[in-house]
Amino acid sequence: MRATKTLSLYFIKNLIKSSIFILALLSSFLLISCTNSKEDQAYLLVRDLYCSSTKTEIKIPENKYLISSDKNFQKNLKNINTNYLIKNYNLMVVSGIKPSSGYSLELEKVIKKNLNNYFYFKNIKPKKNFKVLPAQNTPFCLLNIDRPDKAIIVIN
Amino acid sequence: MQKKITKLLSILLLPLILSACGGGGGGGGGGAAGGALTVPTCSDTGTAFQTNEYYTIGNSSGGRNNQLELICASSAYARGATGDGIKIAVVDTGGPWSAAGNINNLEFDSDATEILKPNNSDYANSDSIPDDQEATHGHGVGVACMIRCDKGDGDMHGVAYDATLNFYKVFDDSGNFVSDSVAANAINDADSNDIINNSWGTGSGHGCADASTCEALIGSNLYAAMKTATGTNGKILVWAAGNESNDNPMPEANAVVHDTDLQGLTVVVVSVDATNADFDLGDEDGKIAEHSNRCGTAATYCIAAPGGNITTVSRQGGTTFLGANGTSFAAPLVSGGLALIKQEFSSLTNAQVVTRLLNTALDTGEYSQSSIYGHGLMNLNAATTTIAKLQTVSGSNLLDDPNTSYYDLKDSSFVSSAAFSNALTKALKNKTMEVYDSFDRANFTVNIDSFFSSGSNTSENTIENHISRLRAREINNKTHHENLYGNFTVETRGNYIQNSIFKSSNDFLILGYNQTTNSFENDLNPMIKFFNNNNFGNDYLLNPYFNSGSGQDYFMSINTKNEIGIDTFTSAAGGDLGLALNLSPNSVNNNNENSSNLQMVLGTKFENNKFLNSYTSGVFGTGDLSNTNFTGFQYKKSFNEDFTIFGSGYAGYTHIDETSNSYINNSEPLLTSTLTMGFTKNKFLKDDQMLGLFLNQPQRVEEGSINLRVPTSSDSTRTVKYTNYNIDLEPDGRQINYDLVFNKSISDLTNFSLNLTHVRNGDHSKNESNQNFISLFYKKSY
Repeated sequence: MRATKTLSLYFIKNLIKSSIFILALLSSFLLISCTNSKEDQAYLLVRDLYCSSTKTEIKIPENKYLISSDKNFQKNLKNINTNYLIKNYNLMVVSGIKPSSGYSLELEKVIKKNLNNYFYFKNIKPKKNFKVLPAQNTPFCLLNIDRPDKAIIVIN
Repeated sequence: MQKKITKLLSILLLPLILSACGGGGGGGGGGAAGGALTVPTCSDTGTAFQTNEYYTIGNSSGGRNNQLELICASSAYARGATGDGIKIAVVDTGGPWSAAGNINNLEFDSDATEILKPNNSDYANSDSIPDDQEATHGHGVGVACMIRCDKGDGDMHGVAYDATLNFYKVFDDSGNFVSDSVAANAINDADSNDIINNSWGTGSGHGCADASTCEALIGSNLYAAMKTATGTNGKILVWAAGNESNDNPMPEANAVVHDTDLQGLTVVVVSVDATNADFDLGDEDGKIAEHSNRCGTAATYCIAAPGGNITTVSRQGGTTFLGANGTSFAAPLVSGGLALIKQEFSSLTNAQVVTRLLNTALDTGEYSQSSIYGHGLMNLNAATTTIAKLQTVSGSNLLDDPNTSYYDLKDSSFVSSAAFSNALTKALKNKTMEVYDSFDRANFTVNIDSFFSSGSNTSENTIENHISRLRAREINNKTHHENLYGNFTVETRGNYIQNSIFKSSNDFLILGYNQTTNSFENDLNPMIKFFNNNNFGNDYLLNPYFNSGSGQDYFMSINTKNEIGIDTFTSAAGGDLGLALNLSPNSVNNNNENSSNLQMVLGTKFENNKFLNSYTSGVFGTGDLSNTNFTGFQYKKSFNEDFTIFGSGYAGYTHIDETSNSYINNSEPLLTSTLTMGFTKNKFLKDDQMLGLFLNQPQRVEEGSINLRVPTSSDSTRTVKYTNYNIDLEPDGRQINYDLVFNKSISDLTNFSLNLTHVRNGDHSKNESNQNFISLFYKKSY
């Protein structure tokens, strides 16, 4: 009986130790994964991304954007390329008229914060002494994302 | 406390004081309006070419644009300039080809021989298909369209719509430029074309300060290729100035300032806004586009063209057209403009083409600001027409030879005799020759017959002349002196001797001045009763090879029977000299019985700068001693005193004296003839009535030709080619004049005349309409 009791106590101690260990392990894992998964989940929200530039006129103020529910979204999309109309883009980001080639817009990162999705874009300029084509154009990015109404666009 | 209140009040009042001081300056802003410069426009005159395509109002071109009108391109088109045969290199992102190498744009499919991809012309991908890509959004295609989008398909067309384009791709499919050495290879290959369009450049280092700085920015291999293209191979480099709104162009465009190898054949292009465009991309004021770099330090080599708010074609398809902004699109308009000038003037070198482009730019008003616009706005109307004055060339077949002679157009002319004017006019119809602008010897084509005018027999058959023929002769002041040695009669008009005649007492010698001593002509001339010869050219019985009446004519007879006479004349104005020997084997019988008179004529005439009374000058000039030897006869026979028959005939043989450097050379001698016959009847039906019938063939070339050796083409080696036109001067018809004249003397003071004239084949032309005249003359003196 004493042995059984001792055995039970040993087993319970070990069980508790293991549990604590497993719990700690699990907690750590969960903590780490939660920390990364916010961005991963946010990136998963970008179903489609296309960045380029166009000579055509896009009627959006510089460093601004349109979502598909905006009045001029379809018209501007058609001006860029009528083929894009079937692509389900719902976000258009524009960095304004540039004097030549060599300028572009890039999606740097997407961060989910609270209930909003932050899309960080970067204006790329031509490298110094780069050869350029002196025709005005407008760099843009087209995206298909979840909840464009919750998107916050930051252009640097 | 007081101090605090004072401090507080000061702080409160300070803004009021400051605003009061600034308020007085508010009125100064209104003074700047008086200095505004107007924006001039060139005169665009080729209305037949100002189609919907010209204004890009095509089937689907997106609307109106006046990018071609602003540079007056239609004026050049009206002169035949289209860019045909001129090769232009488009060094850019590629051309209108698919990856498989097929043309994929309807604006470039009219002539496959004019849209070319040379071997290995894709320098970015090392292949032979320089296809333009979406990533560079069809930049190369858009640039090429400004030069040579097709004409005739209803949308829009380029400025040099018939030029040949060769494409060289130097940007990869991501828009990155090739390496310096590869770019140099592209330029080296591109300079097999006459004009190389470069709508690209280094985006920094504007207005590079010296050659080495420019070279460092451009790339040493590329820089060397640029110098080879211009300095060694004489090709034209056209550079877009850039879009950074900088005071100076990009380095590639600015390098010309510091390097003589680039000068004379480099053109820098800045951009102005189109003024009437449906795309809303610019200020539409014709001024420097906001994006454009200025000419700055490169002003001497710089010109402006539309590049703001212009229309061009999209990359693929050729049915979608875009509005665009950039010096990228201004440069190809200048490249195309250079092609039009080069095609129009084959005699110009490439450097002269550039000089002509820059010197004819619109440079008044707004465009007078050379630091912005350089030479001004391109003006293709002025560039394709005369800058100084047109001249003919002679003496050499090299335009720049010091031995070459040039005449202003007004100093070269040929007024042809009626004896052959018809033949000459027909032969020269639609034949052209070259003349040259004294500014740069640019060659222009003119009709040869613009230098020629024609003498005409039929033009003399006017109503006024017919009336004048029938009018009684004027009686001038005439005095007569007589002494032992002879008698002397002189006729004066004003203070000048009109004519005079001296007859020795024994009639051995008769001397005349402007009055013939010829017995045949002075004796009872049946013509005189009918015609007032002074006012009509058909002097039927007079020697047609003499220029009598227009100069100083001297006459002499040397025997009592007037059987031998010598007529001479000189023409004071023209330096002509003539001599005729008259032989009259029959004597004159004045006793009103049957009589006859025959005179044989033999003579010669020398003409100065003319032949057969055709006046020549300048490049059509003839020499001092054109010579006509002539012979002829005059005959009349009277029956009683009532009926007279008469006739005359002359033939001449003319040798044309040629001068060096004249276009008239290697001419055949001319054989000419004239003929007259007729009769007169006094007491026709009644004693106071006369009737005369006259037939006359005016002087006519029967045989002979002239050779015209005229410049008809020239090339950029400044060499002129001549063409020979051998012109047969025998007309295709023979003019015959028929005159029927009736006179009635009603009284000593009253006279009535009726004249019917029929001219057949006037001016010796089969195609000339016959002429018929009827004139009446009635005179009553009181």
